[in-house]
Amino acid sequence: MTPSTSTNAKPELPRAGDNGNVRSRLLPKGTIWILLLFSTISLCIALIGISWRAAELARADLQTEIREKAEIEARVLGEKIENAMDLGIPLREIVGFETVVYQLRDGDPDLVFAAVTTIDEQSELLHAGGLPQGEIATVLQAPMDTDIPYIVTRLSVPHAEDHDDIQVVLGHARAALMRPVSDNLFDIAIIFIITLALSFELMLLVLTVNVALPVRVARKVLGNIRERKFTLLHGQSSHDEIGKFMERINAMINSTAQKVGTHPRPEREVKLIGVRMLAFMFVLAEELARPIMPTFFSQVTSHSLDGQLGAGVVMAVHLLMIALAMPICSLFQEQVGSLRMYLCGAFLATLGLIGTAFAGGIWDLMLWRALSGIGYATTFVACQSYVLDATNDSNRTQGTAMMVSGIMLADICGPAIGGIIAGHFGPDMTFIAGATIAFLAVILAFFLMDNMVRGVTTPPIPTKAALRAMLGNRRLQVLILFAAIPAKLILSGFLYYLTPFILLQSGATTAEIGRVIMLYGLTAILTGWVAAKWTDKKQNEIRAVGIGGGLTAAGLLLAGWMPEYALFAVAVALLGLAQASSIPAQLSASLKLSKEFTKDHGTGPVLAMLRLAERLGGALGPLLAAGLTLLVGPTQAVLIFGAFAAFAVLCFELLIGHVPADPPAERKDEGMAE
Amino acid sequence: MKSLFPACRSIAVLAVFAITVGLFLAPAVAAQSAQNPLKIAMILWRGETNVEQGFSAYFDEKNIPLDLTIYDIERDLSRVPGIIDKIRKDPPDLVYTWGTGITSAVAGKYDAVDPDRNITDLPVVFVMVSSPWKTGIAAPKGQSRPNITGATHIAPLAAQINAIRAYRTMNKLGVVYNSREDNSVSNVSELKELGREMDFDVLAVPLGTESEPSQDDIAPAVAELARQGADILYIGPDNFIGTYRDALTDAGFANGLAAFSATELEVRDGHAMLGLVSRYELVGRLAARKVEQILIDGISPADIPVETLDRFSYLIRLSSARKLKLYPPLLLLDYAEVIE
Repeated sequence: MTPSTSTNAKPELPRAGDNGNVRSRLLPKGTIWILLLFSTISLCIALIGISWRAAELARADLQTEIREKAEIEARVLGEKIENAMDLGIPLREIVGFETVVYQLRDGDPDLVFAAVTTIDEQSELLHAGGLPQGEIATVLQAPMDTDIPYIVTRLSVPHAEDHDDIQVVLGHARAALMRPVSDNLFDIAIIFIITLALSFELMLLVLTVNVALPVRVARKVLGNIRERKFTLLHGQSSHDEIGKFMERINAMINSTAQKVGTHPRPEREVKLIGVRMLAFMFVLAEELARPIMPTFFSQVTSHSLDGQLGAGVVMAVHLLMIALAMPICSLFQEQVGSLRMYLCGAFLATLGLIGTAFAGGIWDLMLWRALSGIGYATTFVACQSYVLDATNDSNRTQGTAMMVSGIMLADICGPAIGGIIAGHFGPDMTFIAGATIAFLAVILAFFLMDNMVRGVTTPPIPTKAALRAMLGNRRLQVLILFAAIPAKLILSGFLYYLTPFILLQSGATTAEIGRVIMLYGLTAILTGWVAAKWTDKKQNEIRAVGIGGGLTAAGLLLAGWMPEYALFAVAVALLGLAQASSIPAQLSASLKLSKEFTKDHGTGPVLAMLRLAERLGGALGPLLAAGLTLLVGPTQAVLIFGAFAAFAVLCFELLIGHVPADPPAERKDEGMAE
Repeated sequence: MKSLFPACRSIAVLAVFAITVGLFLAPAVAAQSAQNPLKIAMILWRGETNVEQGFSAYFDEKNIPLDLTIYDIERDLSRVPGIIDKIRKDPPDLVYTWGTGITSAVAGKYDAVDPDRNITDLPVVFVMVSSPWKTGIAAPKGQSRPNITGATHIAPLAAQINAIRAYRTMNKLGVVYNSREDNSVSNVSELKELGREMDFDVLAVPLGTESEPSQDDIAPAVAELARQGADILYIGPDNFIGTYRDALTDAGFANGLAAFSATELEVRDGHAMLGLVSRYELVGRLAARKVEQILIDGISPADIPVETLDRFSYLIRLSSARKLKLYPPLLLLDYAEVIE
């Protein structure tokens, strides 16, 4: 039997029994890390230098600005003092100066103190506020060249004949000069993280495709020659020195093979790394608009429905379409192929996002969002099936984690970049930017997706009895009801709806909202590999799912209990950690729990059911969040979501070990066989 | 779409007709008003005040003529029944009453109306009733009286206390009041209740507990409050104290105590140092609006709420502050009306 190309296709993921070398196989080793380190350091130096220079340039302008502001404030204080004196209140009897200073500080947080002094040699301190009088006196008496932490501004108050000569003195914090840097520290850090992430992603892709894979295949081919077999040709296309060198080797193998009478076949490895970039792009296209979705949808739908409910309905329609499209796509992916499926999905997503940008009412908005949902579902299934076809049982969790890493990276970059785009160019442009990325993904898919990756054979369509048996699997039911559905319900309800909504209400900017949502992906990507490795090593997916549920509940209850910006950030980060631990594990657990079924009917139906269930949960999330917001207010809604998460994880932990492992039908069959 | 055109045309024709008729009728209505001025009987406590000036000014500005009959009881409530008899003989369109005492006598309490003694068949609009609900002049919230509405003039008590505290620290509030006036008694009890919420003590000295209060009782009462450590004197809606306000503020000066007033005249014409008050003129205008709604717009008094102004004036009498060396804080000077 001549082995087909697809059976020989080997992903750059480790094979069974190769666990000790997991990292070296999944991520290229050697020079790539030196290059990565070098690029990181260069990037750091460049960014720090640019920031420092920008701060230096801003400092001079800022000093003038602070002085001008101080003069206005001093004039305001002087006018108040003048007014009091004009009313006949003796200068020294004026009361409430300190309160006026505190009021000024409300509008100018850089103002530290203000004082009224006489203009003479003694500079007698008459009134002071902001700091204790003694401290202000010390500052005022300090010689001019002393290094004090305040920028001191003095203004003489024009005086009438019967008034004393006085001056108003104001002290601003010198640290204010660094405010452009300190205020934008978060933005700088985020741009830094995003730049690092994107350059890492690009570097990984370029080096893996151009260096790591050709070299690895070359090693196999050369090993084959050393064993004097001459049965393998180098089939990993490369146009550089490696490619030219291996072309000559191929020619030599061909001529030798003819002499020894063998028929060499091309050897190559699947570009699994490409799927990471493609997953990244289709999620990025959608995630860009994440921070503005509830408000933008509310505005568009406000003519037809209560704004909050309208946004919930539109988001639910989008997620519902994902829920419905995913199982259908899963059933057809083996016939259609991952590449064609991805192309269709990315094209639909492009159309949907452009339409969303120009939507004028609830109906067309729902239509465009539905189209986006179908596109998202199709691309997701295409990437997922691509990974599943190119991996085996031993490395499936890690393979999925690779795709999830791409998704998580988009979760990090999308909202943060989208928040900045929305702040500068408006929500329409944010959706158009998403559409552009989706379109780019269409083009890139041609280069990054290996069309040879297909399922070995199309599994037979399962019989009704087999499906009934799968659906009757109690443990799978528990997994779906108390882990998969709640996880997505909470993700869409809390992260996509309640978080932007509450943060916007509390006065956060779109960039700040993007930053908080970004934490979800950031935490997930930082912890995803560890969680996946732990799960694969322990072979205990159930425990990972339980831990994920517990973390989600803890975060939500915390945010609902004290709905502050910082605690929302903590809750979102915990959600990221929870999903990173739970989602890949859910996938593996579902396949393990229905092992008997997948043996005969393939993984498609199980995955389809899992996806359908969790996406239905996802569609319910925004609707539930919008409904609860209308009924009890957004903060209470978060608490209710937290309580629900706690309830779900409790049920999951209590039931998963106490229900029969196999459905009754299967047990019966086994009994008969025995 | 076709069927809509005739409908639109009909509406347009109707609109043109309505505008034309309106243009013809408007001068006619004004002319009719000029021929039939609004006939109003005013029963006043101590002659005309700025409230009545504001009331008349409102109608003057709208060119609505008034036929006012003024009954001044000169602080003697026993004259009210006689005035009611006169009103019954020559009924006006509406009765206007000034203060809690007169309004109680004319309108009675919401749950104890006597048709023989009280006016029940004419609309009554009251002014300067400090606690219409506590005194039973107004029906409890959610209910209404068929012929009574009005404008009250006192700022909410919590706002008054905040106004005092914006000027200076206050933990003990001294009140001298006439125990024979319902509005004063209810005001003191409300203050005591509020004191528990806002953390201050009410040191109250009632006058007239055994016999009619007299001006001479005021100074010893203030001295007693000073002895007990009062931070400031409070002048509430009290006709007796209002009449002898100078005796109270002079006693305050003698004992180093400033006075806060909930009503305007005690600061503007007297020597109370500060007050959070409704401008009398504006109270008059608010009452005039209610009269307009009843007599011109045809709205029943039962459907017109008893209400107060939504903005109050912070008054500071600087001469008193100077006398006590208690100068106003700088922030207050931004929005207070300072009277020399």
